[in-house]
Amino acid sequence: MPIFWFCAVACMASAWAVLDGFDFGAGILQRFVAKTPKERAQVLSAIGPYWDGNEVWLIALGGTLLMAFPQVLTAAFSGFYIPIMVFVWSLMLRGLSIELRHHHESPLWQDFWDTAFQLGSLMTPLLAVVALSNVLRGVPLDDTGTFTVSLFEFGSDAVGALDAVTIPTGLFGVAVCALHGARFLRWKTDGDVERRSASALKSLTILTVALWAISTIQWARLTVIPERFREQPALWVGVVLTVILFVIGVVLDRRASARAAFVSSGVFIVSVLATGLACQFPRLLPALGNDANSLTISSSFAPGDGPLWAVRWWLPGIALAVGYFIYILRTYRGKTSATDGH
Amino acid sequence: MGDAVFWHRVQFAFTIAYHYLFPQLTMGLAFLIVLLKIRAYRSGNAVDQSLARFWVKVFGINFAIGVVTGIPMEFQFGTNWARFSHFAGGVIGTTLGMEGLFAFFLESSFLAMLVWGEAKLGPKKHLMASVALWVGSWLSGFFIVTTNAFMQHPVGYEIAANGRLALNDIGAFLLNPWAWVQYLHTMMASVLTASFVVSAVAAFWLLRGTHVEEAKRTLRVGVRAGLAAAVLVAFPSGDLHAKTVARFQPIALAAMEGRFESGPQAEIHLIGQPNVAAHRMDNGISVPAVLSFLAYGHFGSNVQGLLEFPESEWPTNIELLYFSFHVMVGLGTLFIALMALAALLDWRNRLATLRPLLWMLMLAFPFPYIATTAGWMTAELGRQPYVVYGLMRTADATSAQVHAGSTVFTALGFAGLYTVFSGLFAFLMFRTIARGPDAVHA
Repeated sequence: MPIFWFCAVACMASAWAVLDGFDFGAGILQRFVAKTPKERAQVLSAIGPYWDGNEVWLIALGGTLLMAFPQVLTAAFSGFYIPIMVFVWSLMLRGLSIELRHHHESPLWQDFWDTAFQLGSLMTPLLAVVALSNVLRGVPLDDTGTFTVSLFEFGSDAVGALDAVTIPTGLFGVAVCALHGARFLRWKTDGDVERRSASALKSLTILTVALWAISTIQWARLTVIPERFREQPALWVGVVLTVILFVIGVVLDRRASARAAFVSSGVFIVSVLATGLACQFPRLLPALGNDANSLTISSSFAPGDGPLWAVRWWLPGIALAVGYFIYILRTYRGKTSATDGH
Repeated sequence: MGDAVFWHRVQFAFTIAYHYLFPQLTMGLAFLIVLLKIRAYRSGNAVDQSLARFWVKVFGINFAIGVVTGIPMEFQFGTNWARFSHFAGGVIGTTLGMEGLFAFFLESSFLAMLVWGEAKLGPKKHLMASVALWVGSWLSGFFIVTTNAFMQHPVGYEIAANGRLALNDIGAFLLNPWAWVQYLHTMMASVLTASFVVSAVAAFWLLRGTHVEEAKRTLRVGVRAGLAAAVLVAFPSGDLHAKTVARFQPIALAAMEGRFESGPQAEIHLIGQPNVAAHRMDNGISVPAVLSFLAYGHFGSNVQGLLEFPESEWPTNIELLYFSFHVMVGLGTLFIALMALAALLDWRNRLATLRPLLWMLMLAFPFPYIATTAGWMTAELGRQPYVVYGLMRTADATSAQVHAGSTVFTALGFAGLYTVFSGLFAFLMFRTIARGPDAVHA
């Protein structure tokens, strides 16, 4: 049962990263690919039908984690109190910017919300990936199952929420979202926005590879991850797969099928996440220092029949969510245009 | 640490009270929009359609703020109330997870279609989108009320070997007798808020002499729904709710009524101030035996007073609890009177020209918000000193390692952020309402 819920949580996290990833990316790029107010509205129309549902994957993930592994959620959220709150604020401002921008046709109003949208789209995945890399790296859990860390540490091997490992990884996450978002916009928009998104792909690829390399070096130098690879050589499969998927994406960017390239970066994101989670399995919240304090899928599993019952509502619930998503895709098939308006 | 508990409570109370200003409108409004859309769909009338479009726009603005202010609620279970969530997560995670899967996905998937997609979807599918939002938002309300009901009256659980709560009967948990009564009461209150807002906007247009045709139709919907909801909030749902509190939380009932001594033919206080230090009511005007009847169905029933229970079990702020409850009940009574009068005059076709009453309807819209907030305060203060009634005290529920300073910082952050939200919201709402529905070109 814990393994089922570990997979369920991993799937929901992947769905969130892949889906919200493209609308974060569209937000990061909005300023660069859309020059006129109409084009900016076009970017928003492209993600408009999806973004809110995409974000629900995060909220539903929180609920599921609380149901199945309550201690992981409570230890991580209270331990990272300030970063989580800042993350929540940026998520809120960004959500509001998408929903309120169109209610008033004034250039000032729309500029304000476009900027909030762009900054929020940058901050939110940055903080999310920082949080996730903290969790993968491990946190200073004590034997009561709680921890605190400082917000930032500049020492090269000191551990803070923002430090030498998590900052480059967070930036790598932002770059991946931007690349993913550019592929989405190339697929779902037309005209100048499509053209600019397509021509941004090359520099975004270079940026992603550079940040990927820097983060990898930091993880290899400063974390226990190399040890995990020695213990479990099968993890290399994940690394090889990840690299292959990335190369496929780059190749597809030169071909006509924008959708295939978009799907490939979705699968790429899943494979990065899966490899990361597999490194620490069966730990969900690894402890730095004393591994006995780590919260594993069995030590943090909710007692009683709750998780067993939950299988019966979780599966139909996910089926519904996927069904809605397909319905939206079909309803809004085709490209959005700068001349559409809302 | 006592300091930290205080700030955690302040932050949660503030963020939830602010958040609930929006869903209480959108849940009720979603229902009224479905009614408006069905009418527009059937009649094909352009005024009806333009009216439905206007209310969808108001809905969109309120829903957006409801969604974003709802995000921190979910997170605070982990950030601020870690010991509570660690203790009860295995149970309440069920309803919070179900809310995500069954309510939020439905709402978020069809929101953009409802607010922006009318031209693309066509009338039939657009009507279905409004139904999706109604069902989704009412399901969300159900899961949240059920979560709260477990905290008020825990059922369907067992205490596991490690001292934490485990779900052992999902049927009992979802069919908690407290949940169904509270849900009915809450949803009717939500329709009431929406009806008052709808009526206030219509009254504003009539007083100003703009959108007269739309205003008359809107007013009729608002006043009729408002009368029905005002009655249903009090009876049966409010009455049942009081009986539920009497049965499962007699201490809370005693505190809500400022009752210190036990006894039969218990009186209800119309006004008065509880003097907790002296264990008596000051300046009370009361009606004998009514509390016995309302709580237990017989005028002679014994109603326990606070002194029958140890002081460690008393709600921690009896004065605030007493006044919250009385504000709610008093306003609820006035709502019935106002809406009955308005409905009667509307039936005689005199409401649209009766300016004093239109003024009252226009200015009355904040009061359902106040009554609803007071109602939630009654529920939450009555549950004290427990976070899960009888099982875990609020003082033991916070995140142990989060300092008071961090919580003060984030509470102030929320206060600042919500001040900005309020300004933007007020600007958009005044503008939207002043413009009114788009003119219909015949």
